Amino acid sequence: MSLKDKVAIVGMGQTKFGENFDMSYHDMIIEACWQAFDNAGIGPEEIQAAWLGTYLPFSWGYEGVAGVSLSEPLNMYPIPVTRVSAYCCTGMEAVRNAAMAIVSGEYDLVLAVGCEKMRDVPGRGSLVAQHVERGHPLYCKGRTAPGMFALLASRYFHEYGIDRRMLAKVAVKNHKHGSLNPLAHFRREITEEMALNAPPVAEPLHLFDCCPTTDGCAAAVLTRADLAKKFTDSYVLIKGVGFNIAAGYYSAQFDQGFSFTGFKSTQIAAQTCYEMAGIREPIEEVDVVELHDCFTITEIVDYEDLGLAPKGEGWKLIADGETYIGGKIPVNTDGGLKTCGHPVGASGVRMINHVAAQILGRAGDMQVDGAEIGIAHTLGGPGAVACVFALGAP
Amino acid sequence: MIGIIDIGIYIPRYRLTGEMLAAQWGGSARGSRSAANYDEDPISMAWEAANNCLGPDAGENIDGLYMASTTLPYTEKNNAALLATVLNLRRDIFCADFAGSLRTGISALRAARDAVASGNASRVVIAAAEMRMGRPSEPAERNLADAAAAVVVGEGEVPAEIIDMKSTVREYIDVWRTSEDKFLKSADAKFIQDTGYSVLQAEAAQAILNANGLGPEDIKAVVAYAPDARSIKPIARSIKIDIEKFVGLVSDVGDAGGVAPFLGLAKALEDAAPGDFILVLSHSSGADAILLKVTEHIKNWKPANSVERQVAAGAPVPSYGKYLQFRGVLPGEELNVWTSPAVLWREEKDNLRRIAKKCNKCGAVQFPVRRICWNCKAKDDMTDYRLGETGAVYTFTKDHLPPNPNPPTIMVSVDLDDGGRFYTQLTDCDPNKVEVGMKVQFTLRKFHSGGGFHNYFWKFRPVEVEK
Repeated sequence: MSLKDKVAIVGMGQTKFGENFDMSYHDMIIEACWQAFDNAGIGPEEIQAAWLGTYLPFSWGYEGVAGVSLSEPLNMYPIPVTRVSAYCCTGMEAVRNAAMAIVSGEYDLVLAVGCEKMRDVPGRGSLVAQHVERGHPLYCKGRTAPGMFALLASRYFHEYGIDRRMLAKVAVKNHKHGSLNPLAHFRREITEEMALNAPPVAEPLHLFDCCPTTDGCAAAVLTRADLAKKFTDSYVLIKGVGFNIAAGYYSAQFDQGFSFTGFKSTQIAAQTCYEMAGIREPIEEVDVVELHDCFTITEIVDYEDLGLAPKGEGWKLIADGETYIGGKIPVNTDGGLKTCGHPVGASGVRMINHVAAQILGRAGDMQVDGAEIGIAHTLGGPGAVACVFALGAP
Repeated sequence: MIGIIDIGIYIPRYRLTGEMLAAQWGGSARGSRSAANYDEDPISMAWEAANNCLGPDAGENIDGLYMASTTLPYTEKNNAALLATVLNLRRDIFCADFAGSLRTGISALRAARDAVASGNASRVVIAAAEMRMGRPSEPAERNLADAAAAVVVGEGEVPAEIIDMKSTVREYIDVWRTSEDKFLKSADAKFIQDTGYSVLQAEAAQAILNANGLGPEDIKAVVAYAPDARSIKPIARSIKIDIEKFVGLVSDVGDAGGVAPFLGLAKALEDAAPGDFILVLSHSSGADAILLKVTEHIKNWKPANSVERQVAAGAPVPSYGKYLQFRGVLPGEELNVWTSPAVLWREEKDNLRRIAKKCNKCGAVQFPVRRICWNCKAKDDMTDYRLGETGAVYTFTKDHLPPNPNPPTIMVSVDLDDGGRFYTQLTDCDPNKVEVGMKVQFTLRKFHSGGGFHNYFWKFRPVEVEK
């Protein structure tokens, strides 16, 4: 039994992504969920079950440790709410589990939410502290999020002969797209010179190669495909989904099978998703892509892992400008993690919602003409975990 | 025949230079002295020295380990036991700490020689290491050197036989630290020079020469303690031995305290010929004299990492300010790193002995240690496998985010020459020199002080000498 065409997304909501100093975790939950409810034409009392994605409660905030962090602000009692966590795939895991519950027949109308409140602590207090102060006392000490992906950049440069200038092109593109997105954390266009001259973060990655730490929340209302029209005429269907864990957390960089030029997790998740969706040649069949550009090098290896380019040639897509809006395969048309920011748990839901908006023709200045099939991809932890969704019009 | 089977020294990479001190405090801009990196301490430096004289499998034959230092990382808790563990020595050995004075190293040597002579041990390793500090701006700041040395004492075909040992006691206040002192204190310099180390060492030297029927002319090399190069002259005068015969590194690396006799001995042995007598002196409230005779076996002895090479390999510490931060004189970023004595106890073999697993079915090396093979999924079918020493960088990053007194933090994923891959920090390396394929070797370092104790683990550093 596959999920294909059985689940519809009928409501979508998202807060502004950014340094939401004036909003609490609860405020963001309420804003994103109410938008999604209004969008679906329902009230919270109609939701039968919900999934909440928050990556690291108590590490940079105090909410999100259990489903109650969703029930409480929404006063949405007494229904089952499950909290999920899968590194950067957390939001997509909320949507995937919600979709499976619909397909199981147990529920007709469910809510999937991703929320992360990262800026109640300083930038260094979130992901850097996570690696420096917590976890195994000895293994991977000195590892940071940019540092994990910088390892790929060094190896990719070594094997395929590109350098930082190619990474800068990814940043310039995503900043260009982000300038069109009213909900993005950064809305300023940049030049390649700015990117190249920015201070180093985890060399060879510099400031503009990295997504920021951000507050944000995104929500989606899901229902059975055959019930979707009851709520709205403009909805999308889940065409395929693939999720897997293909490596460990502490062992990833010790793994002798890891090429450091691509991620098995993405490759396998894409294959699973494409098989379910019936996508054979993604570069020809997919109209719009939201992929996990936590760092610019990640976008380049994602091109390859998602089958949009041959191994070692992902960089050619950005070199040729093919992933701009208007190009052959527009990627991260809302600015991606680079400019939307990366409230970890929220990002996957944000991506799914944006692809849905593209298919529904609601993407405004970011609209890709005639988008019918889109994919969304997240990559988690040290690249150990990946999720790929394919969405399409009914 | 009981004597020195092998000797290894370690001089850390950094030098605190006269230029830096002159720029900060005025005075002479000449000279330099060795300074440990921020992640080094006496135990990690002692590991380096011992690794320079114990082969990877030599640990099997060692019956005792004496750690000698006045700057032991732990005031309470056995330091030698930690060193024995990271050297992967057996567990049924005698480990003891020697502390308290400039004589710690020679005290340990005497005890080791006696242990072998008594038949209680066949081989004992002495590891001496010092990281003494002078108060900023005081002369001691530019004199006191960080260094380590290890000596294997045993019976058999030794390159240098220990012929005799003599010691004296004379209560004397010259240099000291009370249990509250961070910085070395000292009495009047002229008083010390006139009545202290020169006189005490000369007495001990004379006693051992007389007892063995030797005159000053019979001695080929003398290793004596002096706080600086200038101060060797009065000792030479006192014991009437030609100053040209005095061997030591005080002019090259500074005053390494209790380690200094071994630095000098290592240098003397590198230049020694069979039949040479070497006299080693040390002092503190009295003195020790050790008389060694070089044997035929010196011809088969070659240091793993020569004194000359280590002296020449020095590089200036990045800045005086950073040096003060390395030593904790200036506060660094405050960290609260999680750790757990229970975790460290459970994983002692993995993390300190570097013993990984190898799958009996497919041969894949497993680290961090696992029970189900990452390659073929065989369950609980593994054999212990000690990770090799060297490897080549597969990929790297220079990360400016982790708190580090000497940024960037260089992270490397390394393919080990003997199998397995290891991911950790690269230290003692110029960030501009890192590249894919670079040859590196394991080095023990202090990782952090989470939990209020010292957490040690492996880093890599560039390979300096191919073994």
